[in-house]
Amino acid sequence: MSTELHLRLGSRVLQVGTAPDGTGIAATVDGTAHRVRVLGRSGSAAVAGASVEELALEIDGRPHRALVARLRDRVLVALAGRVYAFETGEAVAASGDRGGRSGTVVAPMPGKIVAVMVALGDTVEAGQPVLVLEAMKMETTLVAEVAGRVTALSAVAGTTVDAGAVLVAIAPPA
Amino acid sequence: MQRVLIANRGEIAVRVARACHEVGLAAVAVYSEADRGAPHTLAADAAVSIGGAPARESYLNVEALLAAARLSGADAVHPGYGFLAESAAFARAVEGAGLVWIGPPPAAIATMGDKLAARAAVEAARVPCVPGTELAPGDARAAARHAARLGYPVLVKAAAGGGGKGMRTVGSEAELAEALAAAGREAEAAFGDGRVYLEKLLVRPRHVEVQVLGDRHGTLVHLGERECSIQRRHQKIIEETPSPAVTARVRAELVGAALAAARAVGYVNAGTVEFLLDADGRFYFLEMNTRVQVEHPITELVTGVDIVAAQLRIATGAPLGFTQADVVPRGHAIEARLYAEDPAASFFPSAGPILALREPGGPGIRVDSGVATGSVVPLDYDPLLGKISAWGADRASAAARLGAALRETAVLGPTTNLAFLQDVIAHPAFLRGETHTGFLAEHFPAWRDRADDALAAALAAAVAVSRPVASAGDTPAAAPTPWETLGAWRLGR
Repeated sequence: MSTELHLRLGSRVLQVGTAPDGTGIAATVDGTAHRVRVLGRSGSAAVAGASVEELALEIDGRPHRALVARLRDRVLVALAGRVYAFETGEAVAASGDRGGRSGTVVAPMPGKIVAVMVALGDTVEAGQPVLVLEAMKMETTLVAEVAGRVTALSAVAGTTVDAGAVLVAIAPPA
Repeated sequence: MQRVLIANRGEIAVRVARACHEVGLAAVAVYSEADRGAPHTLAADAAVSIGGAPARESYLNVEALLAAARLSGADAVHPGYGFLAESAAFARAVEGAGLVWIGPPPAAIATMGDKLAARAAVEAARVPCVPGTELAPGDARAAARHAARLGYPVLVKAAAGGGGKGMRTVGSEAELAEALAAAGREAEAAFGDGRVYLEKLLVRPRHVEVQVLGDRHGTLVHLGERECSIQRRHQKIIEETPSPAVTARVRAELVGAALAAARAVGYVNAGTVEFLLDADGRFYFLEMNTRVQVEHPITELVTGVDIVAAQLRIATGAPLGFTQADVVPRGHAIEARLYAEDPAASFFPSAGPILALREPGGPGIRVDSGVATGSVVPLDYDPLLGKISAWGADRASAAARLGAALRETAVLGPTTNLAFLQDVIAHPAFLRGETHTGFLAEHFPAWRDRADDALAAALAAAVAVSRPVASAGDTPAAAPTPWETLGAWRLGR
């Protein structure tokens, strides 16, 4: 069975195709052909909602050892001391490369807001600190990724926020 | 002394349990609600629940810890590092409950724990200190005056501090007020004491510290120095011994000053005297950490002394059992701290379940780990997962071994600094020994993972995806866990 997969890594999208071919796999990455052999796969297990396995692969004649965890919309691969967090799913294939910066400031993890440095309607520069979040006993300053005007502000000093909460929205100048 | 309660969690609790077992003592672990079933609880002979996930309710809860000691029949307490390790009040409470405190005398903790009292004590022993001054709370004008006198840049520090919390660098008067407020808030939150003081910031100093060990019979030895200049947020991530910058002449002065500082407070047990070392070989007392240090393994690797076992022996009242002449360091050791944090996003802490873990091995490699596959990195504590240390006959071979060990390591789940650590120790300036506390800001101002093997990783992902998941019953439900969604958020910078 051949498969076609779009994997987003940061702002890049890799298009990977695989098809069985004799004792190995004929693969393509962004149109370039590669020869893959599965030397071993083991330890397939479910951990905290992820499907995890260890793979021994030969890619274009070179051996690689990888740990792979599959989640709903992501595949994490640990290989040669680095982790590759690929986003998968239909949204990735549809959206293509995402080079742009975000006009929203989002809580990267649960924490407490200790200071808000902007007010609704303020004009901010890219890189300007907008609020201070405390998590794991450390304070982190979140900054505006884009220049513009603060059009929404849900952050209140002293309150606790969840990961992913949109705290500030910034509209770039028209 | 037969049964030791370990008032800590994570890798240091595992380390202490191992030492207890080596010397024939039973170990009792404690755990918060967030740490049920955590590796440190499995490393002990018994484990006692002490309260809720917030540290205040558990690992900082003196009453709960003493009750756990009573309940488990423990007759001694080892505090590890962090949490209550440098609380004189906790040490006194432990002794007041008739238990052995495995640490220095409470009076020594109290003196060294107050930066101003510590300065006064060591200055009296003719140990050089960094120029600095205490600040009256809320007096911004006086603060500005003092800062101008010291000359910018200055450092705002928590009087009760340690571990970089409540610390801010201030480059000019414009930044002073905000830094004072933030440092005061952090200090109040972390230590319950918002007092801060100002210190002259030395330019490109090295952080060099001396390990000392003293028994109750008057023996006090040093185990040489460690250099811990590679820091982010004023917290160490790479440490090594010996320091590439310390000459034999400087070392003799440095260890002499460290022993004088320890003697000045009647020090007993393991402790570390921290100094800043400038480019001219002048050094200044920074603080004394009155506990076992995170980076103690590298000293153990080069000296062969088991520092935690020595702590246990000293606490029983036994003599140290060796003298300064017996301490003969050999070779070089480097430690890398593996943190659940994102070096590409201001080192912001990461959390969640460890989905897969591979630890390194081989000659000269030591792993001190506090996590296992399936264990959860909670939001509530310092995100240190473990430490990987390498010993080599010389600095270059230790660095090469550490690099290979880190490359062999794998952690899936929370974002970690694993790749960053490899890039740091492979940097030409690091390999030349040109380390200073501003090293990361200078050489890694905006680090991004090079993603060298993205092609191979993408093919591995494709191979994994091309067959059904391990167990359909365990596939994620429709609602994503917070951990799954974490990766999509990016810090604004």
